Amino acid sequence: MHKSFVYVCSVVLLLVGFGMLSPEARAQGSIKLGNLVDLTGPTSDQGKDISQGRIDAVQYFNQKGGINGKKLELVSVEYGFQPPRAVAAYKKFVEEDKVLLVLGYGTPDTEALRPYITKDKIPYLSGSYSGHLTDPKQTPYNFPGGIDYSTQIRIFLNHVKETWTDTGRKPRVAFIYADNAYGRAPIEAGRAYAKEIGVELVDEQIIPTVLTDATSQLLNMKKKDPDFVYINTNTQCVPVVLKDSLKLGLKTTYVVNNYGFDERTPSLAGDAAEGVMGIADVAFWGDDVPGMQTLMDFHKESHPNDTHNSPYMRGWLWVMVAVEALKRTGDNLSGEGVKEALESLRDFDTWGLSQPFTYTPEDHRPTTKARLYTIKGGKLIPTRAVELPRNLAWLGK
Amino acid sequence: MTCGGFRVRYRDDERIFDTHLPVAGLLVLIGALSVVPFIASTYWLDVLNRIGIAIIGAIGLNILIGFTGQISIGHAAFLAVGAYTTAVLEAHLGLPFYLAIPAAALVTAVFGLLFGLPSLRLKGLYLAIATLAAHFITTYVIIHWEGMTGGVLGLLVPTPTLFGLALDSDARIFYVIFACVIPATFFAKNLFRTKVGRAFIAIRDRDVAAQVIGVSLFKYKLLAFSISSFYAGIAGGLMAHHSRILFSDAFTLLVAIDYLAMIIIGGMGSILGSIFGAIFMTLLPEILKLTATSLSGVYPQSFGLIASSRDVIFGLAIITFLIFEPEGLARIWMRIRTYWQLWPYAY
Repeated sequence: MHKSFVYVCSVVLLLVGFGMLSPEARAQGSIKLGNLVDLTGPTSDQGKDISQGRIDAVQYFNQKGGINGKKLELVSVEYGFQPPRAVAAYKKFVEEDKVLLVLGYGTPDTEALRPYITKDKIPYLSGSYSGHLTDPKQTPYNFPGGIDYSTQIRIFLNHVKETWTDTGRKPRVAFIYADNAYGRAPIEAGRAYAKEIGVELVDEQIIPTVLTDATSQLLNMKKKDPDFVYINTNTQCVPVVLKDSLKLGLKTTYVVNNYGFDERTPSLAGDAAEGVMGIADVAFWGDDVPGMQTLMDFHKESHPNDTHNSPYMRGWLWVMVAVEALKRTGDNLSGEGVKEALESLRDFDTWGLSQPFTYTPEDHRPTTKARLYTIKGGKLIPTRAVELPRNLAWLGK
Repeated sequence: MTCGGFRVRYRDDERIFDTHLPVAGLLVLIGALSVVPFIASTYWLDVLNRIGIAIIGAIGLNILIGFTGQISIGHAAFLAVGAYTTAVLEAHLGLPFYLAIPAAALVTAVFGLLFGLPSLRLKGLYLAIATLAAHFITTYVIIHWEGMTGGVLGLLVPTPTLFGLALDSDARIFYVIFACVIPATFFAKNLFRTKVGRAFIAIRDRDVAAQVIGVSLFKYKLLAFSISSFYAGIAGGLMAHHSRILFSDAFTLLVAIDYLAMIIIGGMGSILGSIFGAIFMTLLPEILKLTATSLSGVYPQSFGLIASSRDVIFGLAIITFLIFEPEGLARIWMRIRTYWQLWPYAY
């Protein structure tokens, strides 16, 4: 037993050693991107697909020749949704790896790194779509990778207003959101906009980040009898809310934000998902968009048995945007150069995986368009395309 | 080299170091530490800074759990109170950091005293749950008292300045942190040579017997909570300056569990154990991360697998330590030391 233990240890050490020594052997002149993911924390169900999507996309683009001949390299760090680990990883990205852009993940890492990236001038393409990141005057190097949460809640309120037929009274809405930075991000904007367009906000219910039972919050909400409810939490928690709502017999239409629903929601929530609507920022697996075939082929080639929910598409999407920006910087390869390149994107076509992206030096909202989906018969059916004007008064809110 | 112990005065019995060699070694270590910021990269300085903060926090927790036997999982709350109080004192009152951090630590000590009150009636598991209340209350206050704490948007910590020099890099904060670690360690080591320290240990071993011989449980249990929270306050204040931005998600229950793991792995009831535990718990994720990152460069698809193994390895580490060496890394170190001190003899 002692001998085989020694053999196993030496094999492991050899692998590790080979891995650690190979930086010298890698091709010179590769472009490095920092990559933060959560694979062990509360959002790991999405993190797994996002990480896979990014790795696949980078491999794909390298196969297609890289960026102006240079290979793309991901410096990946798993940070477990804990900000200090993200900060430590970022310091390494900047000091040792000299990354040109960081593919951020969620709210904790984006918030924690806000002062650092502005000081170091490294663009931060985040999976956090908080409205606070959209104003370049306050956060010049933050680029949310999708339609921001505040715009989403305004889309919800517009939808309520537009589909409301009863002229006798105003429509009643309620917000259910997670008790953390991500959940609370759009609520202030939602309250202000509801007042502005004449929709009555009757209730707000707060749910914990890790949710096992929403009955008490839903019972309280039932008393106020809202017609529409907006849920701003994660894909893991939404089915709990929906199932408890069905159990309590609530007669309300739910609209979920982009990170609250994906292909798994119908199966996780069962009958409770019927009639639930969601705002989609990316295409779903198998949708009829130009880029889907490329993704599906690549996925089948490399790991056909793995999952491929919408976070996978997001991974591809963000790498695609980063690659385009890097191509446009040409020789001016610096953090500032990449920032300017990102701000030059106008209706950039992301193979149909999302709405076209536009970043400007005054406005870091990539898009204000989205599609509303409805879950019918266990399937996600696209219902309508929605758009909000690019109102500059809403920047940073 | 010592040979047996022959002491004629009580003073000699109480000495921390029997000979001059360990003292010389420590002075060399301190000298080496002062040179480190000039040669290390920002990344490793960041790791060392986090180790320094963890050492202070772990010593504090060890005083409470390892030496006084009061189980507490509210340590993250005390760190949070220390961090936020420091940031608020500096941002809203304009205090310089060398006043704000001790003041914040005092506030945290009072806080710890309040949440230590259940210890007068509860023991063991029940006390642990009562201290959990401290954690949830603190997190709630941080999120909802937006005027003070910035709520979910977070609080930017003002850059500390000393004689006009801005301490905004890891190298400069390093000196501040280790200027706190060294006195903190010596204070804790000295504490257990005094009456107060002996009272703590008596409470841990047999609190009823301690009370019988006249150790006031009321006074010493609350004192233990206060001292432990004071340490946590200092650690929290340093953490605030190190990470430059504080927000609600930064002090989760996982932080408290991490500190608990530090003192279990390092050795409960031992100052050296707290230091070892802090180093181990901070370095292990870094080594795993470096391995995962470099391996993922060569085998890209393996990243997910290796990165997720962190928690598995931690769990295994804690279980292995509890089975093979319940007294932790400190005991392992003592065994190695004794082996070489007595070599070639067995005892």
